Amino acid sequence: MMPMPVLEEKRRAALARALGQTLQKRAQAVAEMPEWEAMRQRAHDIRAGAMDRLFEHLDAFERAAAANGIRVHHAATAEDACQCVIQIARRLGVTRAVKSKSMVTEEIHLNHAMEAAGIRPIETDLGEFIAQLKGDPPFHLTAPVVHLTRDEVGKVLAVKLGVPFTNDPAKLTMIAREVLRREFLDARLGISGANFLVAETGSIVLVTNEGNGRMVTTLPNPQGPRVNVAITGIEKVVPTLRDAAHLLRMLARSSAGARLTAYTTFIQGPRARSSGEEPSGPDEVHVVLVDNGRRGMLRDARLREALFCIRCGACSNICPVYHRAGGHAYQSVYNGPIGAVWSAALWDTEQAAALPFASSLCGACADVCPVKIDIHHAMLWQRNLATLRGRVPAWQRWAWRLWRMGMERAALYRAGSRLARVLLPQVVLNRLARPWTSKRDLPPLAAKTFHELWKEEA
Amino acid sequence: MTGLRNRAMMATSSSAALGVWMMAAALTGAGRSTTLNAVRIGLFIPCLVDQFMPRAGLGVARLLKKLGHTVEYPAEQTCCGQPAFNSGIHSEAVVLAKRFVRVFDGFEAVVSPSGSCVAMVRNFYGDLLGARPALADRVFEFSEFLVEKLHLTDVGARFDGRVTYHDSCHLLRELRVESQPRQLLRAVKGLELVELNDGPTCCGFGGTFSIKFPDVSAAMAEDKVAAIERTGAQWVVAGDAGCLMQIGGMLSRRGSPVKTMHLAELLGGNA
Repeated sequence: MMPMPVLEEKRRAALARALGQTLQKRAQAVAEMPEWEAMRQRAHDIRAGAMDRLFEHLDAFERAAAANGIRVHHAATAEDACQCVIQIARRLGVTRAVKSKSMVTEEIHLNHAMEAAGIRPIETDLGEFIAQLKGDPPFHLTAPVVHLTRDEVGKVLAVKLGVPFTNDPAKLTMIAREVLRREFLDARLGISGANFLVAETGSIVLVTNEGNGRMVTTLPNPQGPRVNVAITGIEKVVPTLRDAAHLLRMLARSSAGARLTAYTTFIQGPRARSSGEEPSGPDEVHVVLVDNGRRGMLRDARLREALFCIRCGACSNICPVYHRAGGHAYQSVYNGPIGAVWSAALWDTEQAAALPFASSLCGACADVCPVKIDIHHAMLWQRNLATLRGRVPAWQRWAWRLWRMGMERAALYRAGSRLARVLLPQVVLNRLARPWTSKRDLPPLAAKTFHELWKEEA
Repeated sequence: MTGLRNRAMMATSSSAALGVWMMAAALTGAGRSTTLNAVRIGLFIPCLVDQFMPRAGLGVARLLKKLGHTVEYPAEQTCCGQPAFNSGIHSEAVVLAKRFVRVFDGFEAVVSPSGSCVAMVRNFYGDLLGARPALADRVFEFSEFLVEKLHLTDVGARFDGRVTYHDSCHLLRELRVESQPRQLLRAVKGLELVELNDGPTCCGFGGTFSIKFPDVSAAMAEDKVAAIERTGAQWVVAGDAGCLMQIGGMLSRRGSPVKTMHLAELLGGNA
């Protein structure tokens, strides 16, 4: 089993404050909507409907997008997806690309692949920008550096950009803005994710709170053709614009406690080439539809629901395990409760298979999920999958087997509990229960079991 | 085959009996103890209660008996299979789940002082066994049974002290039992109930989670205990033995004067 250390006290407290504020805002945004539970159910039904006929919706999206002039690519694996982007970049002859925040690009390790191909990706979401400078993986689905203090952010910028140290958030933002503005204007390749793909209109829907997503996807470049690539998972498709509109409301309220995200962009395709009346927009728009294990999730009735996820991060914000251990403890791009489910579903590694065990199964995550994913029950199922796939050591399986054999025979169980009281004084019990007793006391066994007391009482 | 058929018939006849009971209860203004005298209540005492807090089990038994019900404790019972199920070892859990159904199927109602173990039977047996057993609808957590089935909030108990109630996650989120324990506690003479106001957040027990991830689990317990101490309560009460072991273990390690007690022991221990 993977070790999962607890964050140091100061960082834990700071994280709890930051997540607590977001949760508080979410609670207010939810309280504004007396019909919230019905809204959740509708969001759930929209996502369920989308997954029921996923490939029909994807075909419809592809047709509508093609009619709008968008080119759609299919990537079965992370490698395919990266190669697709690299080829587009090579054709353009660029060595830099601006990126808006995208978890799928983290999932496929696009930045790494691009760098290896000699193309520099520049993260433009403020949090991702800092994480990239620091060389850290994202700490949170929506807030990649939520764990850093402003002093730490100031140090990263001072060291990596050679600017004078400041810990003033406004000044830090201005420093980033200055660097990024140049990149936006010079860029000829913009890379984004997609929050939703709309089947009926072929639209790519993108939300950001900083406006960087719009800069990445809409600025033209006078120096040569400007190309956009949206990389996203096949599960992001929704049938209609109305569906997307509902989910946008759920996403904004759940992730940031906002009524709507600050910038919501519907990308309909490249700018019209024939008329000079449309000055903004790229010359080419591409969509890369990434599978990378999602079909497998779709086939498993108990994991299919995880595909409903709209990446709001509310489950991490409320998760008591995430609060104590933090995002990096999961050692996976996708962290927190839904991240544990996704990681174990996408990657067949010992590390990923251990993540569904890193939960007390309290279910707080499922209660805040805007699309009503039974997150903790998916983890329960994945624990069984770990056993079925031989990830549970043989000695543990044998221990459970012996335990079960004891529990099958009441007389054996009773004899065992009598024996434990004779042979196992508290000192010995404490030693046997070391992982428990390292941090807390073990309450003593009752002098008599209920079984014995019941007999006396009768 | 005959055995199977007999068992199926037993299950059918007991659900029929429950139907009759429900109808009778509805006609006579619901849940008077007189209408329930004919009902055999099976006492389900989970392993942790049996081993660590047997007085909670006695509380349930005494209270239900005092109310005039027939309470039986099938001595054949052991574990519902939850620890193996939660650890992903379904092949072992399923054996104990089948056994549990066999042991308790003859009862019209099964009552237990545990949200967690009742949730196992009610919410997870269907998935584990491939089909939800009829018994799943006849298994009740003790406070839920008192308030929802017997329509009783004042059990006539007395307890002097300032008490806070910890919501066990399985009671709260699997069974959606939240107000019932509070109603019961508020009716206890001499008892002052103070709210914990911490979420409600998990105490960090989580069964084998507490052993596999001791650091995270203990950090959760520390915050829980801090929240308990902020209330100024002398006692923390909960409906699940696991939570009480976790919270009690941390209170004891920190040398806190706050004591733990199972809800069922508080309500029925002296009945």
